[in-house]
Amino acid sequence: MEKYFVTIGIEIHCELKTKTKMFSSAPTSFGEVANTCVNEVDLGHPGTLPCVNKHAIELAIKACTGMHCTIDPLVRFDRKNYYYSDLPKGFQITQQFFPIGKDGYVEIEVDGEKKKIGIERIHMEEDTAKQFHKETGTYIDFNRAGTPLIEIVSRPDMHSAKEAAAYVETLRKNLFYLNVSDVKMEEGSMRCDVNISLSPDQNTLGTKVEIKNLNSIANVQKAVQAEIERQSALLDAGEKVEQATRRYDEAQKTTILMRKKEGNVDYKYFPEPNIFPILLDEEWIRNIQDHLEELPDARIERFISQYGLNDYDASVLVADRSMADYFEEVVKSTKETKKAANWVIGDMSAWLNKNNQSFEDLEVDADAIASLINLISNGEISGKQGKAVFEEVMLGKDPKKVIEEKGMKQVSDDGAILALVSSVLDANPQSIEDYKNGKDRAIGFLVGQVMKASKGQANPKRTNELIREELAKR
Amino acid sequence: MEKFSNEYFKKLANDLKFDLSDEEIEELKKDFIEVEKQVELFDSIDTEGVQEMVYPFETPTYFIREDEINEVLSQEDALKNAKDVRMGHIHVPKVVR
Repeated sequence: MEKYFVTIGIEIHCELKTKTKMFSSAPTSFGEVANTCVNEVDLGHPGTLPCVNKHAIELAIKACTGMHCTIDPLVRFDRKNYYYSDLPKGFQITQQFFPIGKDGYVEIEVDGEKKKIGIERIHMEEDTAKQFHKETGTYIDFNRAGTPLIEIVSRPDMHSAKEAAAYVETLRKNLFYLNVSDVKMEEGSMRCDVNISLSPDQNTLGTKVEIKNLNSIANVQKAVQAEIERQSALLDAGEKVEQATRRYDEAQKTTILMRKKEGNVDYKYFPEPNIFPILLDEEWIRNIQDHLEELPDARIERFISQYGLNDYDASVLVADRSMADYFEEVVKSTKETKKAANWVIGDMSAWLNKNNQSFEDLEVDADAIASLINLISNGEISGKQGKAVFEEVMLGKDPKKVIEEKGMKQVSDDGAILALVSSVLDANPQSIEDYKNGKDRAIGFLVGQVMKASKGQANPKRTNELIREELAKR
Repeated sequence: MEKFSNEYFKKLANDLKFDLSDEEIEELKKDFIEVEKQVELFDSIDTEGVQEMVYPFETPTYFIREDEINEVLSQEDALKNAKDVRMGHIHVPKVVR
């Protein structure tokens, strides 16, 4: 449908889940009191020296491995020089010349079709301070300064808004599963810049426009779509696309010019003289790679093969890691894996939604849910009773106790049910007549009467069977 | 244009956001010419085939810092050098529109 050939490349910055900064032992933070999580290194005081965080390297290696990158065991850093108030040293320490990882890929799926998107490089660097621009001037909070980041640079392998969104979503899920980052786009722990160009033919590239600061996956898709439309309209009208940086405006549903590109900024990159090249132990790297967390796609496959779930249920569970974790806790104590998936995806999710909670902070014991599922499948309580018990279990009660307290125990004892069946049949001669005349519906009415007489405790399946047996005798 | 012209120094000063008087420019001019002469001496050294060296040692290090919180400043200390502090933030003139 597109008249022009669209080329998209994406750069993603992602804060690493470490306790301390990339080059200092001050704590990383989000939402702390301003300028309370810094030390002299983060503030760029003269005479301070950067010292590389081992855990940050470890997380970068995990990210690289998850994205099938080749890892450079000799870690080197460089200086990127520019002058701005969010950068106290006047330079950012990054890995310009030798990124820790390169030449990888991720697999995305769009409209049922799988496709590999190349990763050009993954490198480590430090975040800048956070600035708030107010009427009087700019307020600077250095808490974020020095926070470890990885930047993931894709190859220009995407050609539609859907592919761009799928790529960001896949990266987000993978990095979350690998425990590399908490990937909260709305809080800025994952930030996304999209480069996009349109061309009349596949063999030439159009003028590149960069869209910055996209704070959700939905906005990635909307912004790219809006930008494709904007550039198409310009080209249709015979106009030129200007090389520029733009941002997406949600209200106007279009991209807005931030600044025109005024030539290439010279960052005067050079090797960081204060950090010696660090040679990583091959054994250490291999150990990290051998103990990598399971990635989402692998987990979906395992849920299908190990628990016999269908593709849809497995995908829904895995999309929310906490939900998938909870499901796995539940199936430790029940063999009813499909029913467990149904409860977790259905009733539990609905309950959590209604109560504004998530699986992440759920305190209900997975054992209790498993026990509830077992009680229903053993026929000790009916499915309907199960729903009532579930409500109590979600408030922290033990299902067996709830059943006891409410006197819910399903009666499966033939003698007790039979007594009720006899009295119901005696009281309803018309229904017996109807049944004999071929009205099978009468059975339903009689079962209902027995259930009512038992206050819902009679096992419906057994009741049905006994009514049929009794009717045959009359 | 003369290499170390008055305009050259004025532009440099302006880029770095300070003012220079004509007398100061004359002083700097002498220094710059002298420094350049020194730098030109490097050209007399033959570096053909010699690899650049960034660090004084050829061997890499193996040391990396464990991810443990150690040095943190109090907010008071962190802001001590700032000229203008408002609501716990360092306050600077706005550089964006």
